[in-house]
Amino acid sequence: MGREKILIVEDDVDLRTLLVDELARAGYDVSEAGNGRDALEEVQRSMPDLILLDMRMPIMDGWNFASEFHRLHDHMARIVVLSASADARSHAQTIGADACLDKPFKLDQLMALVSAQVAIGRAPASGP
Amino acid sequence: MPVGCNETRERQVSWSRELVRGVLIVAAYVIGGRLGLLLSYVHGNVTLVWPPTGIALAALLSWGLRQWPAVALGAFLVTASTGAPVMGAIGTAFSNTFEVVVGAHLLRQAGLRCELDRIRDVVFFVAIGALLPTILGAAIGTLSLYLTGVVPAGRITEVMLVWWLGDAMGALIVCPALLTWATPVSITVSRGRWRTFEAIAAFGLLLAASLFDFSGLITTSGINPMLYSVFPFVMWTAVRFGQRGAAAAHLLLTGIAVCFTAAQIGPFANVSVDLSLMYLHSYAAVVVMTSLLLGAAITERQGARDHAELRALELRVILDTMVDGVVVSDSDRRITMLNATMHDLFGLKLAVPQPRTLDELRARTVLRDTNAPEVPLKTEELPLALAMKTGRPVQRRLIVPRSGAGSEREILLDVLAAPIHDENRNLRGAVAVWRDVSEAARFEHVKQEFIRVAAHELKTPVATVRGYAESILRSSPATPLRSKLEAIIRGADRIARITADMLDVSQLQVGQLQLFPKAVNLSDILGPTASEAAQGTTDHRIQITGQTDAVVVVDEARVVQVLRALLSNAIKYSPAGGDITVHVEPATEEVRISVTDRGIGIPARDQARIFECFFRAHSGTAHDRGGLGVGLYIAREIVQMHGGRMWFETQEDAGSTFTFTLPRHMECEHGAREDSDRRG
Repeated sequence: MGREKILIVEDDVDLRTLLVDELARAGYDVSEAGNGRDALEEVQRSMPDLILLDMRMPIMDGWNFASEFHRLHDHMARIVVLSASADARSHAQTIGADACLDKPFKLDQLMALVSAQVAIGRAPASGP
Repeated sequence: MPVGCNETRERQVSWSRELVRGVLIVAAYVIGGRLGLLLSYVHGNVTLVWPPTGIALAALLSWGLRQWPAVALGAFLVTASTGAPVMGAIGTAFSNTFEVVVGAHLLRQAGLRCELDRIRDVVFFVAIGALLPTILGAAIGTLSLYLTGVVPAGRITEVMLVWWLGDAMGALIVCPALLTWATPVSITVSRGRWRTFEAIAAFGLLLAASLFDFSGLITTSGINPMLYSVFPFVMWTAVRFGQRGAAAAHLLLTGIAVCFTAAQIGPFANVSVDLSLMYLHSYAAVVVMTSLLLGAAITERQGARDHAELRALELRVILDTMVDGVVVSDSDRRITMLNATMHDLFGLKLAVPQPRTLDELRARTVLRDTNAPEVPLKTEELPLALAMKTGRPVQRRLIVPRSGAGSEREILLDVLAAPIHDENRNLRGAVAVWRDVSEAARFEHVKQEFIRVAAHELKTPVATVRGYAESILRSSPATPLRSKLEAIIRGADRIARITADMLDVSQLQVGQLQLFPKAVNLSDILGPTASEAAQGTTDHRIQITGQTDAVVVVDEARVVQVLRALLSNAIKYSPAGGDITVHVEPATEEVRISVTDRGIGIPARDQARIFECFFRAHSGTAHDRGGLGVGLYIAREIVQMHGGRMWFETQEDAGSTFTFTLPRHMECEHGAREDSDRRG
């Protein structure tokens, strides 16, 4: 079993860099995208275990990405919505995401959520 | 203080004018008296009708009681002119003056209007102005004639009766004419171009009928079968010309009757003197009462009509100039009133036929309810129709298309309709007020949108700042840098809290805050929330008591938010430290959770407003701890959205307890709020 792969989809470069650094430091295999379209390409290249998804982005936003992703790849990866929106939780429900984290968040919170989601994602595959 | 007829004018009257008035009164009294004496009955002193009583009463009512010396002088001169002894003349003058002063005083006390244009004025005038005081006058006068030897003891009663009737008739017949013609008319009964011709015709016919009745043309003895033929003309004058017409008519008619009877001509003559007097006086009294009461009734009715017309006109102008549209419908949905603004709101042209029913009004445009905008409203769904159906006020927000200058747009209308019930609680119709709230709604939308976008835009940079500070902190830097990074994180958290609060308020106010309820064991959230709150303080100890493992169906994050707000307040407002108790008390349907501190309490003046949005108790005092003043507002709204309640008990300098309830089951899945709760 290799390192868990995490895709970060976030248009704010500073925040994205922070997330990439911290998750890489925590031992994950991290890739990144600045919008939904780049993220779809990245997914085509290599399917992640978990996608951290911002909602408001240029070119292709989180909603469109999620529906495209689910159409093309079903629930191959778990999606965690990172949203600044007031109704983040309802958005997360609408697009069929697995969890949601309000911005701003504590890094500990993020790390805990990521590891929990990854664990759930791995669960069926970890069977004998 | 009762105000007499011309009380206000009297204050500015000069002495010279008073003197002229006095001379006029004396002259009128003497002339009237001499005329009356032509109809004398005993020694030239007691007469059929005593016109000066009416003249004097009118003078005192119009010009004030201080003119009494003129009345006394006139009365003395008249009596003296008959050759009566001086003492008798003085006694008579006293009695004549006394009765009119008493009458005028009583009438002024009763608040008489000199127009005599109300029924109460006529009744007062007859009873306490004419009939009552003249009894006193007659008694005093007769007594003085007896004492001076003019009237023998055996005839006292008879003389007194004749005296009384003569004076009373004088007051009844003459005074109303003088009063009504001397006082400006405030209510005109008859209007129009033919008024003068009509007056000439009415009075001409009345004169002819009177002469016909009393001149003895038909019969010279016994009752004239045509005696009452004058009444239609008396009524005509009263109905068409009000109190002035009535007074003039009865003056004319009774004057003719008195003159002919005194000359022993006509239906009342050629019988015994007593009987003749009785006929004449009863006839005159009936004529006077009929005409004056009719005149008063007509004037009162006309006054009420004028008043109603004026009010209706005022109301029409008010309604047409107000910014809200107003529609009134009767219970059969016929439109009885539609103001000018309503035309504008519906884009109705004034030229086209006005809608006469609610159906026609509804057919003029397409109305939709903002709560169900897909289907246009039917007539029975209009707020007016609903208000009539339910018997209660109904409020709706409707969308109406309106073609503006070249562009089709929609306007938003707040409609408040209320049923109209009569005093027996029967439905008579309904009234609806329509207010264009498009601008207000647009402004509200812009405001909410601004808050939403601003808060959203703030969150990502705050996440970045906080995240990097935390990231550096994780690499275990030296202590001075550590505390600086922690300060950055605290600042970022504070901005995050404020933006979250702003968003919550904004969403609560437009009813968009959503709940995501699920079954939650309270023990899972109480402990962590309490320890989190305890981290920010070293002076307080947070205790959790009661049956904490109760299960409720709630939005966990929102309930944690409520607890945080209450705990944060409890810590903030107990600066000296101490125990803070969170107590859980489950019941069948709900769970009651209270947070008690031993702090400064809430001042009495702030208690009523403590849950208001943006209200900050202790603002500007030593206990001011900053903040937006929205914590308790949001907390209570969240509790209410769950179907619970929140309240507090507090004592200054002893602490506060905030309690809220949470239902064990939630009825609506997403806490979709009722319209009535929606805040504009």
